[in-house]
Amino acid sequence: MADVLVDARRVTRDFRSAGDIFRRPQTIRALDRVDLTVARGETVAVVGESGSGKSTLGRILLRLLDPTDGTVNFDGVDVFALKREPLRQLRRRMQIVFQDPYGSLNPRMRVGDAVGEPLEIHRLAAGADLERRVRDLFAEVGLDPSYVGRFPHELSGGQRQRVGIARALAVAPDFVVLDEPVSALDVSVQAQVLNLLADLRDRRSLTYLFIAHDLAVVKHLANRVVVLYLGQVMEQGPVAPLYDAPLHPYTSALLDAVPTPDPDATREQTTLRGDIASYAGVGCVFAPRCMHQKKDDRCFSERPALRPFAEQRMAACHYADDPAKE
Amino acid sequence: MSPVVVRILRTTRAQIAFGAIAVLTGGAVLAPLIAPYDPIAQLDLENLRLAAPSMRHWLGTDDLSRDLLSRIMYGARISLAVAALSVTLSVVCGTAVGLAAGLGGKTVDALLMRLVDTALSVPRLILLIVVLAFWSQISIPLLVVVLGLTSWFDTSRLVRAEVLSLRERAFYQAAVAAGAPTARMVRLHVLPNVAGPIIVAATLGIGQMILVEAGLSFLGIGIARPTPSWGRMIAESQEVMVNAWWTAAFPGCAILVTVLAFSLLGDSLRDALDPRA
Repeated sequence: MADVLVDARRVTRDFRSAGDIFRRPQTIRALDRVDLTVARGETVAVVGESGSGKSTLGRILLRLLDPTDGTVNFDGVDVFALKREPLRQLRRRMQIVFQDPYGSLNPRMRVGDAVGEPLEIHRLAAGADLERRVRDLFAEVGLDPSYVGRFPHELSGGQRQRVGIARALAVAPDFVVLDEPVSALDVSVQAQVLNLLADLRDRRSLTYLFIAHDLAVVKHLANRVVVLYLGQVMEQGPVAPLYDAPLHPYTSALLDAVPTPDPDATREQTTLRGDIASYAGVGCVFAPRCMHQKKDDRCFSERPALRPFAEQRMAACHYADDPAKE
Repeated sequence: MSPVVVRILRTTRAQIAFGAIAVLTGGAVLAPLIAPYDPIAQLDLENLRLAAPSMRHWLGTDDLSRDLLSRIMYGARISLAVAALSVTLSVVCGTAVGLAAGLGGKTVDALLMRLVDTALSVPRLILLIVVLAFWSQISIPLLVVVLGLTSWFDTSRLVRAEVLSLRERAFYQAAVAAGAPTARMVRLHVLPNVAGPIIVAATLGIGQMILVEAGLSFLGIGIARPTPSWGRMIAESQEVMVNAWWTAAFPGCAILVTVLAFSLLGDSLRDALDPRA
């Protein structure tokens, strides 16, 4: 593989619920030994339902959250070994765009100041130069530069999301985590923002980690997809083969959940039943909801390893068939 | 005028509150110039004891023949000054402790909050009586310091809760991701967003503080005599109020109007400080 920019190994994160006199503290494993590499210039999508650990993974990569175990290397540097000042320097190179365009902007800060803040913090610009660069950034993300003096509540959801993108790009980062950047937007606006993200990536040769909860949104943007379920990688691989012939039954289910624009089209559905639940600790995490024809006792007793398939794909299912071999 | 002030003054409720506070403050500040009589002068013990409200004495006189209107005006100086200053002190302490608890990590948070829990478990009036018992004469600065230092506990909890919820917000995380140092986080992302709740709590706190100060004076542990104070005016009227209702009613009204005005103002501020309004 090409030049690796982000390399996460065996990243594990537990969340403990606070116990009290009546309840024991509970440990929930949000991420379970996840390996992830992102090559420079690549867009990797991390897909899974709510609770799959995808946002936790994104936050750990940026050191907004500490892992319980595992390592993260950014451009060869161990992110969690850094002291304050080198960490501040590194933060310039990795940024994040959040899902919620309401919560991601300080309600008491003018949006122009929000975009300029990273530049100020890293002392990259000040005064008239700062103002000019903020206006340039507004123009670059398709916002009228005259909006710099507005407050977040004066903008629409799509406009706010553009402000969030401009803020992430202000310090010219190499790597951007997009944490469900379009999930909260109207469908028509979603397409605009996705196109903007694609344009920016090409123009600025950015590397993206795109977090999403459905496969439809990432299809045109991602090079590679990682499917997470209950904190474990179910399947990963390049977009085209993964969409054409999913190896893992969970990936199939996610693909079936993508709505078809044709109302008359009948399609075979392997609808997922039930909600994402907790993992008993033995067997396959997905087994309780799995619709695979070959599902048997082994699925409940032995945890399937993530094993390699053709075309640089990997899947964690005992009964995944390699389409290339057939 | 700044847009916030204009927005606050849009409602009738706020106009009434503002008007009442303006009259009270004006009367207090200008008392030496406009008060009809000396508030502690015993005018005529023979003929003017417990005189009913009249053209000469609008609110009547007390059993030492002192003019009630003048006493209420001078009393307002004490009540308002003590309340405003002690609330300021309390807000500064509460904000500092709340920020430390909210941003300082688990150990600091646990220590400070258990301390606050302990302090809150002691009834406020008992705490004040015990603390004030150490001094034989209670001066205004002493009262301000004691009231201020025994009333910040709620504010610290309010600020801490606001800080903890702010820390979960995406914009806070974005600023951390941008590498913002703590001082900057506090100045730009925390304080502006907790200022609203703090100002509202402080405004409501002034009303509360006036009641506490009146309560202390009523119990005889307020500012030393013969400085007039609303609480003690009510206390002193206890034996005569059956025959001279005005001796208790007017100081009581003063307390009621003041507390109500600050309460209404606090509510108006809460609404006006919401940026989405």
